[in-house]
Amino acid sequence: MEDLLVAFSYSLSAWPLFLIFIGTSVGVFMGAIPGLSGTMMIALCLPLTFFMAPPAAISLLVSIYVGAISGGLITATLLKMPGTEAAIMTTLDGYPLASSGSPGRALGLGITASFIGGVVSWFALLLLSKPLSIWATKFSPFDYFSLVFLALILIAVISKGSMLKGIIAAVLGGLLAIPGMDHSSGLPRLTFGLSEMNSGFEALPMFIGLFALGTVLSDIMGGGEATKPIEASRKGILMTLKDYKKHGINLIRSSSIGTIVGILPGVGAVIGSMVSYTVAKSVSKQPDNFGKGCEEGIVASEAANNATVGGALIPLVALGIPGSLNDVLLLAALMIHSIQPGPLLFVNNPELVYTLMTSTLIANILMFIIMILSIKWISKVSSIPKEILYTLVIVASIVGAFAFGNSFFDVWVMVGFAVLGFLMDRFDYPKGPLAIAFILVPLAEEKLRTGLQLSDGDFSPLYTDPISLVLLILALILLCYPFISKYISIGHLVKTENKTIDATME
Amino acid sequence: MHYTRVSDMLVAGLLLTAGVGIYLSSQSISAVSFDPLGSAAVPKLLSVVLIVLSGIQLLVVGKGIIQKTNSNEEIKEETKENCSRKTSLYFIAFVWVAIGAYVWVLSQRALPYSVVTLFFCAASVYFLTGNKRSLIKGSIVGLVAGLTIELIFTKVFFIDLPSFW
Repeated sequence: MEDLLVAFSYSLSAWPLFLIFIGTSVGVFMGAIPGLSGTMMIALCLPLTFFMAPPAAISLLVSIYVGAISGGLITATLLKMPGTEAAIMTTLDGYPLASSGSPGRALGLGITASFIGGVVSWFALLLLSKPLSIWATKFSPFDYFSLVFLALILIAVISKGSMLKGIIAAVLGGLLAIPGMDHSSGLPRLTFGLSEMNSGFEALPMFIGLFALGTVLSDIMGGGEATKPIEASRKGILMTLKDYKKHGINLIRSSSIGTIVGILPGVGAVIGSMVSYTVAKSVSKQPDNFGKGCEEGIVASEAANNATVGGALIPLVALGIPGSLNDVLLLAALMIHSIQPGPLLFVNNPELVYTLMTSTLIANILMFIIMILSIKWISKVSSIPKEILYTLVIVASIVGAFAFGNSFFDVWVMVGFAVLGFLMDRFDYPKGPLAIAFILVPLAEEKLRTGLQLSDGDFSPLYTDPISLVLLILALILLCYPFISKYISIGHLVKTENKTIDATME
Repeated sequence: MHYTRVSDMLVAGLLLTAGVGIYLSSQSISAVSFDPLGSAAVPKLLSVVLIVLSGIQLLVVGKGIIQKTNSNEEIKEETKENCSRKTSLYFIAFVWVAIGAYVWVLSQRALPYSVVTLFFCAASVYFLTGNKRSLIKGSIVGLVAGLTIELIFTKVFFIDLPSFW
């Protein structure tokens, strides 16, 4: 409790509060622009945080994260273009409601739902992360390896599009993490004789290349369709008591779903909002209204996608495992500042953990205020010429990658990853599993090798230790589930067809 | 999604080749006596998994190609898509060459960052719009961005960018 109060007093002091305000504002603006994302902004801001103390750096980055998740709803509602992936479900009902003459109402519901979702998940972060981290300190290296292995399988299986391509992307990410000096032996691995490769591929140029430059170039090639924009309005933007009564249960339910989904490593806001939207539709008294401007749909989607922020921070803080792509960047930020993430973060750097929590809450509050007050300005952001935005992102990516190590080698690495990111977008290989595996595979290898050194090369603790065994079985089930469910649905289809044929013959 | 089945196969083939290359390179990673698993185990395992998965992807896509050759209408549609995609391949290549040239010129340190960025931004905005008037817009953006970044990064953050100052 005392640590939390100290963190609040830090976060509410001038410099951190200014950073949180700037981060949230920039995040909201970036999130509102289709094609640009919070992930990109966090990647571009990572080099700037070198010159900050770790608590200030984390405050800035987490505020961008919170702002960006929320900002996407503006263009989703007014332009039928989700600013971020997380706002895809909001588009389905936000735009129809706005175009029926109630843009303020649509935006107000989304903004308030985002705020409530963020606050609910914040409480979960506050209450769950410390007990989880204490439990995790009892993990053996084999347990940790099994947990990371489960996270890798989950990320690959749940990724967008083809599962096979998701797993290939994850394997590729793991392989890209291998080059460099081996921590155990001190010998170079897969460096191909290049001295610059002794430190391997750094995370920062990789993230900037994949998610900033690569994405912008994919957008440049991809183009997009124009939609008739709706004028933003503040009329009806604030929810009344009657609205809270009407949408209260939906708000709490969707926030809880978003929090739980956010906890699952690699599963992001888009899945949280999809699950919540689907559940809201299934329990609604008027499911046919969904997709036609239904207020319940907007509330469900926005509450869940913001709730995933707090949920995803739980495994990051408690276990050192990123819950989402943005958390991978937060993890990279911690590592850049020589802070070791993991269960001992609460022990070694409690001030950082609580600062992260307080910054998240303050960012949520500021997000609500900023969006309510500046809705008209934010909606104009989408009219900034794309050619200028893209050019600036290219310039910022290059200088950001250079600033990391004062080396043009990092810039070339960044460009290489941008090519990879572009090709992955082109050929439908998801980038998320690659990025997350890039961080998690070295961790898994380290834990497994440590465990084997302690057990003299004996692999049996992997399946004799109950925690490790349960986690590995879960991983196996996840891996096999898509095939089993396909087999079951084919079997069900065959039975149904047979029954139909029998009925026809009778 | 902007690819044909043939190019999807090529990508899978490339990944398979990369997997083989990494596996062969991993053979030269030496082991240490105190480490039962060794430094080569994970790269070898991952490269084998990559080879297997890429092989499966090749088979899956290849099977799709074989089935599709039964339908001439579908091949004609794909060919039309191929033609328009070839035009954009020049565009794609040009963009990459432009970025590569920008980075290369910066790395030579012959010109200050602000000057190189001015030219790059002007060219980039012009190229993306195809409009001569946007050259002025791009130049202004390049001048402001280049000078601001050069000043802040060299004087405030002490980053070693090629600079006027």
